Amino acid sequence: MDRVSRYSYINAKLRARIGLMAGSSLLEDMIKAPNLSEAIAVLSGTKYDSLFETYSRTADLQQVELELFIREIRLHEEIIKALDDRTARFVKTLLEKTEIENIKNAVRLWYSASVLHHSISYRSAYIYKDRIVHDIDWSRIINALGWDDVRTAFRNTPYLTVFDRYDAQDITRLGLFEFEIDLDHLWFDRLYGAMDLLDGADREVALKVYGLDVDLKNIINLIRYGFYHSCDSSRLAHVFIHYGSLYGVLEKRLASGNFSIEEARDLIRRRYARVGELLGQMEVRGQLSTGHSELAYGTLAIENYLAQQRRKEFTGILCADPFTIGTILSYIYLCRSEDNTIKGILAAKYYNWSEEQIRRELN
Amino acid sequence: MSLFTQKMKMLTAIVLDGYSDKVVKALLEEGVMDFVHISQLDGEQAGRLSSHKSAIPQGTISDLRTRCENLMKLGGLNIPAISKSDLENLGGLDEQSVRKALDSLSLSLTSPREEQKNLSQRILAYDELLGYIRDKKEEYLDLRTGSISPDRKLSDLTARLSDTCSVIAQDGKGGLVFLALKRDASRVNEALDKFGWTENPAPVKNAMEIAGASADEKRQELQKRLDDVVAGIRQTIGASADELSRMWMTLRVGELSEHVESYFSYTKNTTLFSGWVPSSKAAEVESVIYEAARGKCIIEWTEDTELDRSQIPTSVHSAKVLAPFERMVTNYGTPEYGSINPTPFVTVAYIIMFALMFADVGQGLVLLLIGLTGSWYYKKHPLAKDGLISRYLCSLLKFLGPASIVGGALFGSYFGFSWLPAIWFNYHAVVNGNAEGGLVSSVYDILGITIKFGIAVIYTGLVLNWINLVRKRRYLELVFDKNGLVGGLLYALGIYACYYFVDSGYRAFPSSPLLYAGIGFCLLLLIVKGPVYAAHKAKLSGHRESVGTIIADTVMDFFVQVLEIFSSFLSNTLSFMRVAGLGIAHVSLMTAFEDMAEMTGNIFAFILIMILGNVLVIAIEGLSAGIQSLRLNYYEFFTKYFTGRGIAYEPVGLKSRIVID
Repeated sequence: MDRVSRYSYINAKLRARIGLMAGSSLLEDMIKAPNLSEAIAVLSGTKYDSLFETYSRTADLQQVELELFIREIRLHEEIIKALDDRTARFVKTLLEKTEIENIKNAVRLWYSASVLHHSISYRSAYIYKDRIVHDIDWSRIINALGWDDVRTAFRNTPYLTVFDRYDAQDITRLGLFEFEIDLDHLWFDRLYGAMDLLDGADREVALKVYGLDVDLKNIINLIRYGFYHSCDSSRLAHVFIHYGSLYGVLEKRLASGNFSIEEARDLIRRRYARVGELLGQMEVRGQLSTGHSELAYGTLAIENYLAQQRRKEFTGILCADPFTIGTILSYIYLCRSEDNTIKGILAAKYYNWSEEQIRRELN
Repeated sequence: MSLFTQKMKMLTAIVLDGYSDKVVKALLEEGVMDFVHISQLDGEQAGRLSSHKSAIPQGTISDLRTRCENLMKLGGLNIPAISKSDLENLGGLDEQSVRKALDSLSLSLTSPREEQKNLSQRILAYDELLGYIRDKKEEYLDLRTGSISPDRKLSDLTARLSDTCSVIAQDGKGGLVFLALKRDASRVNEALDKFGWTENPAPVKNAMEIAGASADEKRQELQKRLDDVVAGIRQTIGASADELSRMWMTLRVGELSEHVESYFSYTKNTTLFSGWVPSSKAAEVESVIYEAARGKCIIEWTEDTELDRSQIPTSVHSAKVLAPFERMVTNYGTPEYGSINPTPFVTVAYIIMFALMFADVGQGLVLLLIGLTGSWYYKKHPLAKDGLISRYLCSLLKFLGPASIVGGALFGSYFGFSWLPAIWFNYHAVVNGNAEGGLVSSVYDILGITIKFGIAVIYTGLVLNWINLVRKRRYLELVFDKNGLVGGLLYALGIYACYYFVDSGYRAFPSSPLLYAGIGFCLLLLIVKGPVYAAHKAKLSGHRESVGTIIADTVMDFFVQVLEIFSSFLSNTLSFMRVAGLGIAHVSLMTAFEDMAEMTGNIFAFILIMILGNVLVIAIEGLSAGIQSLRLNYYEFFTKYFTGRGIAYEPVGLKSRIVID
């Protein structure tokens, strides 16, 4: 199947939808609303009407968030249906990221109930329990009496390899942090594997998009775990995602055993001048020192830069060749970004954040 | 309904300051004025006037109005319409008191919302438990029968276990049935131990059913309480319905007034404003302003002829019944001021095209019924959201259904059967090669009919364009443009030559000298066009192009125009063959279904297949015919006379949907 036949229908459809995406006035009205109820009422009569209906029925923000999660799954499923096998497989891999988030939430609940002996009561209802990509017995995870029981729920899935790396004692001793990192790494392995199966132009677009993503995630990991938490080099190496243009150099420097902030900044500046600059500013303010309370704002600036770069990347993709997977990636990104903004505003309203605070976080 | 766009007049008024508020309200009520900034008319004079200063910023009023609307949505209240008496009785806008009232109402909902959340979360817990019982997932359930120590109260145990997903019920024999989730075992065991739980040595029959029934009962009880809380929230907002409604009206009028006043200019004691009004409403608007200002005003009218017509907004007045077709026009663009109103023409063209492509009495009747039922439903439920069959589609189907019925009667098609003889010719017989005699006996004849229909549509478009050009006094375009007289003449000569060629059995072109003289004359006109345009431009601007430039432009323009005229008229005409194509596809599909139905040899299967076939054809072919008709109108018909370059007339009034930033 040639690229035009593969993408003409779905990309035209998605481009039309991008044109109809919620305007900034909707988000602006939500930010201006004085409380959560009124912020959700803004969504009434829009394409997010179901969120308003859920909230009117339950007044439960977490059920609204589950509704948004379901929207994300449906969005991928709709695109997958319109694609041929090879490209659909790639989009399915993207959907696995959503599935992994659900796995993390379910395992966290299990951990809370089974290891920490906290009551999870109604909270299991916030876990999506239908099939996303693989057959996973979600109820079994939540109700598992031990780690082996949790593993059983993943019997026929690619995630089992990660579960096999840990036993009940590891999980009790280490918590879920490293397990979750492994799940993320597994996803990146699968993503890059799926990318290899794409056609030339598609692979190029996907590599560009996710290469940038991985680099900036690795930078944030370096700041967070390398400088702020002062993790040792072996633990830090475990956190890094093994792809992107920075990983090789970062790993080499870590292996040398002596990796200073200055070195890291120079290394990053060579590829991402603005991030290097932001790192410099954080260093001047002392935000990179262990345990500094302002670190969050520093990393937020870098995350915002990452968001801007991504937006720029996706806008560029929409102006380029219309018959590549780029339009699909842009559409998924824009929808996720819109949904996340809405989720962020609603959470902020729940915690009674001021308008200024919300705007600063959203930037 | 007018054949042309409505004639407009520009009003400029000077009102004494004390009356400006009343004038604004009167104009909002009238809702026919499309305001213009004075600076747009006379920048120099406008510089001497002061502009409007808001007491409350428009953005603030809009935000408060949005808040008011949001609270009304939460209470399921409708946004009110503002009547004349409302307008008279509305007081001034007090930002602080409105804000206070909204805050107070919002605050009163906080605690019921919290209760609603807690109840719905407890329901979720019971839902999980009931789900496992229903799905027989007993491996997750911890079912026990027994009793607690006599000195401990059951209600205390229930309270103790309130943060777990559990249920305790009497077993009917003095004992208890306890159901929880195994995952909560540590907490449950601890609580039960404290309450001296003793297991019943003999298992109670139906313990699961007892626990399930109790959980279900508790869930229903919680659901009822939740419903009461939701009703309470609505009641709380409902109790303030009048206040909210009045507040909303005050805010909306305030918002609209601010919008209108943003166009105002001021001297020390007077207010000046200006705007476009349809001629037919001029006298009414004048008297309204006089009345509101108690005669203390000066009104001046400017005729459309005195201003650049490209700056005049276009108001199209069509019969209300033609609203679905008017929407097709506005979706394409706004007609230029003073040009022909395309709505009646697109109505006729669209209906005929659809009737030719989707001709069937039975299927047309179904479309009509869908249209009528849908319209009735939406009328009964004015707040219902548009479904797949929207309000717009329903109103359109009320035209397309009868069109299809008429088409079906002409071609003798009734749910794909020829139950009655065709009035014109039997489409099915012609497509299936069973036609006997008659003027139309093959698909080529059908193609011929649609091409003739296409020529008629294209010529209608050309004639409408000539009328528009005469009205706009663009005589050069009238003569030389590809859609002008020269294009029309070349098209006529082309049609004659093509028909001659076809009639000769595709062997000879006409030899009439008149034809070649006509073509030569047209080509000459196209060559002359360049120098004539250059001379006209020089006359208007005083700037003369060099002879070399004129010659180069003329040659280039000539070749481009000739190519464009031949290719566009040819493709536009042949495009109408799709009308025949879809009509033939419609018949072929119905014939295929009929053949399949006959092959079964079973009357029930026959009926079922024919029903299924008709449903599929109505859904797929109906949609296809609708889209193709729209396409033909947009690309083949509109391009001949409708530029869409007009400025839309957007009056500000109480009922206008104007969005204010």
